[in-house]
This record gives sequence, C-alpha cells and structure tokens, in this order.
Amino acid sequence: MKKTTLPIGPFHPLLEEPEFFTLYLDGEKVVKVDLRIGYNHRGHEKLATGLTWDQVPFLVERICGICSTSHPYAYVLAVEDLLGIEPPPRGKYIRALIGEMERIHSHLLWLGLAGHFIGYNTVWMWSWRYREEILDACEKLTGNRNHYAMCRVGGARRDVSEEAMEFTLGALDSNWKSTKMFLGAIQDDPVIHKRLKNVGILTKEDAIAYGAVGPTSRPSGVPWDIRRDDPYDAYGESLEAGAWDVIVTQKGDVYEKAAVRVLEILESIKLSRWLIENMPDGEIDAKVGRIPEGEGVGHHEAPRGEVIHYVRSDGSNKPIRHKVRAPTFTNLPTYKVTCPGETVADVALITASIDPCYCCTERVGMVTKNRSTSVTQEDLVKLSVEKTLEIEKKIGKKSNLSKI
Amino acid sequence: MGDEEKYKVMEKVKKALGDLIQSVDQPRPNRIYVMVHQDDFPRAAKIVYKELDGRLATSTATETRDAVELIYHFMMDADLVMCNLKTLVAKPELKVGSVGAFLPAADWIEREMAEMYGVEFVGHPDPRHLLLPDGWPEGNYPYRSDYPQRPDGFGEERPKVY
Repeated sequence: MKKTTLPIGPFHPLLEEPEFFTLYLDGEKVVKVDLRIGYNHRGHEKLATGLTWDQVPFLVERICGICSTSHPYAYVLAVEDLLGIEPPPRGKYIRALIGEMERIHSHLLWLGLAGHFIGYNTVWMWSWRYREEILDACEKLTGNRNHYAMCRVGGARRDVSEEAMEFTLGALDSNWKSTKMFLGAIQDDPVIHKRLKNVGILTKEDAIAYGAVGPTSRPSGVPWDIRRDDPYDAYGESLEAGAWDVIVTQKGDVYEKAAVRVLEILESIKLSRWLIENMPDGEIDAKVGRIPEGEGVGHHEAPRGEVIHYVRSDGSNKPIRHKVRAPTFTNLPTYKVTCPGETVADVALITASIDPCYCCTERVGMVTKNRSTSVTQEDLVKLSVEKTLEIEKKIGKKSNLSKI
Repeated sequence: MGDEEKYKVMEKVKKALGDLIQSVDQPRPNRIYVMVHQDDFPRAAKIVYKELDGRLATSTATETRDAVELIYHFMMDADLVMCNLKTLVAKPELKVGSVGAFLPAADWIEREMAEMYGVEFVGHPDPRHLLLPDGWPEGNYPYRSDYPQRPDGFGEERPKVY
C-alpha cells in the first residue's frame, strides 16, 4: 500500500513555540506522528544565569505572550521555596487574582480559536469580544493588558486599587453571563456533539505515562491541579472556603477538553470574585534581601497546566542554574497516542484541543510519492470546516453556535 | 493535609527505595530530595514512578566540576509532596541508564539534556536531537561551561549548520 507523508510546519515567526509535524498517512487515516521542535529556542535558561535575581521575572515573563504571568509566578515561588519564606497576605491574594484573570482570558482566547477551527467564526468574534473586558480589567488592575510584572520575590510588585477591583467585578459579571451562554450552546448542540465526541481520545493511562498536565489531563480523569495538590498563596484558603473546585471528567476526547475549559472559566470567575471580596489589607511585599546558597522548586498551575521552575543559588546575586518547563512540553507528546487512527480533518482539532500555539499549522506541505504540493493553513481549516458542514447536512440541523 | 503527614511521606520514600538511598533531605514539608548512585538511577526512578505514584514533571541537569548533576522532579500528587530524585553522573564518560526507556514523560527531556550537556542516556528509545538541528556537530554542548558564548569564540571551527 502506498503511504503518504504529510509534513506540517515548521514555523511562522509571529507566534511562539513553532513545531514541525510529520503525519504518516494511510489514505485519510493517520498512522504515525513525528514531532520536531526547537525552531525558536531562545536560551532563556542560559540568559537567566546572567541576570540578577530581581531581573529574571522580567525575562521569564516574555517566554509566553498569552499566559505571561505564569512563568514569573513559578519563578518567584521557586526562589521563595529556596528562602523558605511566605509573602504577606495581601501580596498572596494579588498574585492569585492576576493568575486567575489570566486563566479566564487565556481560555476565552482558546474558545474563540476552537470556534474558528470548526467553522463558527461568530464564536470566535464573540468570545474575543468578552475577552476584551477581562483585558481592560487587567489594565485597570496592573497597568497592562498583558505582561503585568506583578510578581516579585517575596510578594507583589504593585498594589491594586479599590476602584480597579470594582471595575473587575463588573467585567466578571458580564463574563459569567456570556460563559453560561457558550456552555449552553456547546452542551445542547447536536452538531458539536457529532463533530467533537470520540475524537482524539487520551486515555487515563496514557495521560499518566506522558505526564500530561492541566486541561489536557483533567478531561481524562487525572485529577491533578497544582493549585490544590501543592497549595500556594491564596489557593489553599479559597479551596477550603469552597470558592472554587477542580473540574475533572472521564472520557478524554476533544469535546470534554472543550467543556473542561469552559467550566474552568466559571470556576476562575468564582475564585476571582472571592479573592476581591476577601482581599486583606496590609503589606504586599516581604522585603527580601540577599539570596543564600541553596535550591528551590516552584510550580504554578498556568492556564495550560503546570509550569515548573527550578533555581539554584551559590549565594551570589545571580542564579547559577535556572530550569524552565512549560506545560506544552509534556502535553505535546500526547499527539503520539491521540492522532493515530484519526483523519487529517480532525488533526487540526486535536491540535487545538491541547491549546498549544497555533503557528504549527500555519504552513503545510503535502508530499506524495512523485509530486510535492504546498497548502496553507486555510486549507487545513477548510478541511475541518467542510467536515462540520457535512455533519450538519447529514442530521439536517443547523448548529446553535451559528445562531449566536 | 497537615505538615506532619507530609513529613511522614519521607518514611514511605525511605522504605520504598531502601538501600538505593545515599542521602535524603526534607528542607520543607512539601519537598524531598533523594540522592542515589548513578548506576541505581533508572531502578530508583522506576520505583518512584510505579510504587510511589510519582508523576515526572521534568528533569534538570546542572554542571558541576567533576560531574553533571541530574534532578528528576517527581510530583507525588496524592501525597502533596514533590520528590526530587538526584544523581551525579561522573565526567568524562557521562553515561547513565535511560528513564525514557520505560517512562514516555522522560523521552523529550532526556533528549534535551543529552544535546545540551552531553549526557548519554543508555537505552533511550529515540536518541535524536530535540531542540538543536540534525546537522549540529558532535561534541558541541551549548549549556556546558566550556562552550564559547560569543560567536567569535568559535574561530575557524564555528559549526556550519545550514
């Protein structure tokens, strides 16, 4: 039998984390997937060893442009682990609030792109419109829509004003309603069920073996969430107070990955409200002086899963080793088990369900035995959209999402 | 879960690893550091993964004068404790058994450590480059302290990759 090789990638320089996929096809079915990364390796770990302890948060903040606070958050937790200190209560609450606001806007961004991938551009427009409100609230709270620079070793870098918190509560209320609408649209929609259910299943065993984290592993029945399993800052207290819960489902297909993310937005809204309502007064920063010799590990539950940082100090003003691991590093290899057996039209969806960066599908080359053609990202999305329309035709019904 | 119960996890780790342990430390209730010999390392990692239900979060390699130190960060999610398994891989051979041979989570990170620090993971299922391009010349390890950090440090020998 003639096998087709379909290379996807390697990269588009506008977005971070470019990857190169090679799909080995048997007809339309994917047989094997191979991945290559490293097209945009920037050497952050080495660069960090040339900066002082207080400069590193600004460097690692620029690793990701969407979940920008997760890296400095994990870094300051690692240095605080080394020091054995805890920030003052208000500092803890401010950092957790920024972490949750970021989760809401990151999941909304994902929801919009997922809508685009299955052919409902209205979902894309609407979810990004509501994301704007959250970004405005972030700007009020921190001064920036992204790259907040709020984390510092020993607490928060800046205080947040009462007025900004009032504004944030308004944005959260508006997002609560819109997220409920999205959730209803996804849950009652026969087209979405047909299109997303039983696609790209990640079993519990595979999730554990590959060490998948966050909203990639939780739909597979793996209940890991660093906010609960290694509570830091305000997360332990808020969980005890019943302000939020970890969302876990069992099946692990693309549908549940979407549902888990939408439900997590609701949990994050609840938690953000609780944090604002219970915000303590007082200092925001435990003035940290010299960093002694030692080592520390810190991890934070970013929107895409656990971010883990390791630092080692020799007592000087710079770290001698700084290790960074982003969640996509462990989530990406799960393609090896989720893609085989699926069609090419579903690969774009499975790609989206893990919430990596989308640049990987930006340029697609198709290589068959005697000729090689090149197709663009639009073609891959078109394949996916055509399949949705086919399903609509087959069951003779329009999706709720096209009516939003 | 209180701190006392987290300190009890140490007994569990000691019992499971037994003679393999060279030294242990628990500086804070939720962090355990275990040092094992490099020959016992894959066996110890298997015990932490299978018997203690550790999830391999990632691993770190750090260069010291006579060795490269490996730390495998296993998160024991049920016990709310992170178990950091350490070993020293002696220079200049830099050979250690692969954990990626039985645990897919270690696959990529071992490839990264191999190309950045020159540690050879014996028995790794897929020992290709991960971040560096395929044509990268052998014996150039960018994160090692003897690697020239400025382009002119290469001189005539600067590797031609593309």
